[in-house]
Amino acid sequence: MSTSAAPELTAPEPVEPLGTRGEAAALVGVTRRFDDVTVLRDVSLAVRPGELVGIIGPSGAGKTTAVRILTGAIRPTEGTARVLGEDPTRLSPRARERIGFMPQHMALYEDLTAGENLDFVASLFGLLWFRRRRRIREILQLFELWDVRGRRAGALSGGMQRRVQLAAALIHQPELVFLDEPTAGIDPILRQTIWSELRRRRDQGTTLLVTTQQIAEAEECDSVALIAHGRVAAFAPPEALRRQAFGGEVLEVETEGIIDAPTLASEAIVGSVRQVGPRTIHVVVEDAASAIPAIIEAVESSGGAVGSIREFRPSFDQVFAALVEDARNDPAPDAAS
Amino acid sequence: MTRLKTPLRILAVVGKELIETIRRPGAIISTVLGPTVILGIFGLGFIGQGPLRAELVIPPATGLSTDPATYASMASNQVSIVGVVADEATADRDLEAGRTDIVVIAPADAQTRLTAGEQAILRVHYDTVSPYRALLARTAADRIASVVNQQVLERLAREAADRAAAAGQPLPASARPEVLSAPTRAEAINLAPTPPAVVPFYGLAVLALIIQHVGVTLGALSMQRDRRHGLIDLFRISPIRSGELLVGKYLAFGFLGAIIAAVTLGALLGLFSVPMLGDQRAIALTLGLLVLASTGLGILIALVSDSERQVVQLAMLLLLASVFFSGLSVDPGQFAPAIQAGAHFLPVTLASELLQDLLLRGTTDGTWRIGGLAAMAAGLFVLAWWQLRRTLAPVD
Repeated sequence: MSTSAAPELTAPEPVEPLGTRGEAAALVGVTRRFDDVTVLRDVSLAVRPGELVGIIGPSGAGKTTAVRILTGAIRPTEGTARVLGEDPTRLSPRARERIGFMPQHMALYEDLTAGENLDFVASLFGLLWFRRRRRIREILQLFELWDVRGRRAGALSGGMQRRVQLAAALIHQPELVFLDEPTAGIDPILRQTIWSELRRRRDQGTTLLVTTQQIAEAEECDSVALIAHGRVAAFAPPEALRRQAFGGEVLEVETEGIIDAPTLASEAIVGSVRQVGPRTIHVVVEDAASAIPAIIEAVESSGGAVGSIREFRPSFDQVFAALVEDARNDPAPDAAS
Repeated sequence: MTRLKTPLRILAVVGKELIETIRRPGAIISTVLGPTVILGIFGLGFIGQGPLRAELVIPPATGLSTDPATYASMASNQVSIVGVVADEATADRDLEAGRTDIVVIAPADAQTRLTAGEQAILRVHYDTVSPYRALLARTAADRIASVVNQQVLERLAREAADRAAAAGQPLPASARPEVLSAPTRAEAINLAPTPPAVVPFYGLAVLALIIQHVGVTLGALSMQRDRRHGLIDLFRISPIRSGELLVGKYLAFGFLGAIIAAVTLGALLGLFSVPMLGDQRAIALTLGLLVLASTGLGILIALVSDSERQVVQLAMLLLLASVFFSGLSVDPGQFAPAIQAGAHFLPVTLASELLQDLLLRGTTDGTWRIGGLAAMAAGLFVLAWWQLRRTLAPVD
C-alpha cells in the first residue's frame, strides 16, 4: 500500500526542449501520415538513458510506426525524432553500432541456422571472431537456444524464431535497444525470462524501448507510454498510470449492510465513489493509507458499519480501458514528458 | 579496428550468400541444369531441314518420261523426287495428305510456247502456313526451274552442236553443251580457322546464356529474400553501408558464377571437343565481366520489383529476350538494325559473340565488345548501388 504523495503525472514544462536533454531517444511533436491516414498525432515521448520504457497499445495504434521513426526507417510528417543525440535518418555508423533492433515481423534467414543468423548480425555490427563466438554461445544459452543452434531458422517454432531475433538484437550488447513486440507468440514462462533479461540489461545501463500488446507487461517497465488512436494517452510510471486512470488511489470498502455510496462523496478526502456491489464500494482518495480511518468514520457516521477495507489495485487491463476512455473523451493532443 | 569492420561486414554477406545458396542446391541445379537440359535436347534432337519431298506431274501431252529415275538429276540436298504422276489432281491430293511437300507441274504446252518465243511456266504447288517452309518451297521451286532450264539449254546446245557438225561446221571443242548451259558454278571456301558446326557455335552461346541466367537469378533472388524476410529494416539500422552489402553479394555470386562458368566451359572443351584458339585471359575476362553484369542486372531487377512474382516474371522475360535476340535461336542479321543494336544491351549478346570469336577464331575484331561488357558491368553496379541506397533510405 503506497503512503507517498501522488507522483506528478505530467512533468513540468522543460527548460530545454525535448530531444536536447541527453535522452537516449525522443519523439517531439511527431505526426505521421500515410496518404490520408494519420497514424501518429503530435506524439512526444522521451526515453532517458538506462530506462526501460514500454509502448503499449492495441493493434494498429501506431506503436510500430513510432519505433520505425526512431530507427530511421520512416520520416515523421511533422515533428522531430532524436536517437543518441542524432537524427535517426542520418545516424553515423558509430551510433548505429550502439543500437539494437528487433522488428515486429520475422527478420531471419530461413536457410541459415540459428547460430549462423546470430553470427551474421554480430558481424554486421562489427564483432570480431573471438568475441562473436563467445557472445553467440552466451546469448544462445541465455535464451535456451543452445541445443537448436544448428537448426535452420525456418525449421524453428514461432517462439524460437522470436527468441533468435531477440538474441540478434542484443548480441552486440547495444546501449539502446528497440524491441517491437518481443514477447508476441511466446509462452508465459519464457516471457518472464525475457522480461527478467530486459530488466537485467536495464540495471546494467542499457536503455530499452519495448512495444507490446500485452497490457499486463506494462508493470515490467519503468515508464509506459499508452498509445491509442495515434495519440499518447498517457506516459508515466505504471503506478502513476493507475492513479491517472482513476484519479487517485482506490479503497475497496465492504460494509455490513447496504450503504448508499453517494453519501460518502461529500467527504473532503474522497475524490469519487463507485458502487460495485450491494455492499461493496470503491472510493478514490489521494492517499489510501492515510484515508482509511476517515473513510471508516464516514461510513459509520452515515449509519453503516465497515466489514473490511483495503487498497484496491486495478489490473492494467482496467487501467488501460479507463485511460483509453479518457483519451476518447478528450480529443485534445496529449503531450508527455 | 574500424578499418577491419568493412571487410568484416563484406565477408559476412559473402558467407551468408554462399551458405544460403549451398543450402538450396535444388535452386542452383535447376538454374544451371534447366536451360542446359532443354538446350541439350534441342541440340541433340536438331537434325536440320531435310530435302523437300517433290512429286512431279508429267502430263502425257508433254511426251516426257514418267520414270522417276529420269529426273534424278533434279534432286539435291534441298529436294528429293518421290514420285511421278500424270495428273495434277492426284498430286494435289498427295500434297494435301502430307505425303509430299511440293508438286512440280511440267507445262503441257512447253514446246508450243517456246516455239512462239514465250516462257513456259513450271508451276509448283505447296501447302503450308509456315513462312519458313513456304520460303523453302519457293527456294526449291527456283532450284528446280534452274535445273530444268539448265537441262533445256544443255539439250538445245547439244542439238545445235549436232546440227553444226552435220552442216560440216562443228563448234569448237571448248563449246561443250554442259558449259554453255551453265557457264559458271560456285565453289565456296570458308576462311574461318574452325569449320562451322552447331555444337561449338551454339554451345558457346548457351554457355553465355547459362552464366547470365545464373547471375541474374542468384542476384535477384538474394535481394528479394532480403526484402521478403524483412532484413532491409535491419540493414537500415545496422552500420552496414549499401556499398558493402552490394560488394558482398557481387563477391559471393562472382565466385559461384566463376565455378559454374569453369565447369560448363570445361564440359564444352572436354566432352564436345570445342576448340579454344584464343587467349585464355581474354576468355576469362569475358566470362568474369558477364558474371558481374548479370549479377548487377539480377539485383537491379529485384530492387525495382514489387514482389517475388514480378522478379520471376522479369527474369523470365530477360531469358526470353536473350534467347530470341542474342543470336541463339535466330541469326541477329535477320533483325532490323535498331533491334540488332538493342540486342547488344544484353550482356549475353556481347559475351556470346566474344566467346565465339575468341574460342573458334582465336581472336576478335570486336574488342569494343569487351569495353561494352565492362561498361555494362560497371553501369549496372552503379545503378544497383543507387537503387539499393534508395531502398535503404528512410521512407518519406
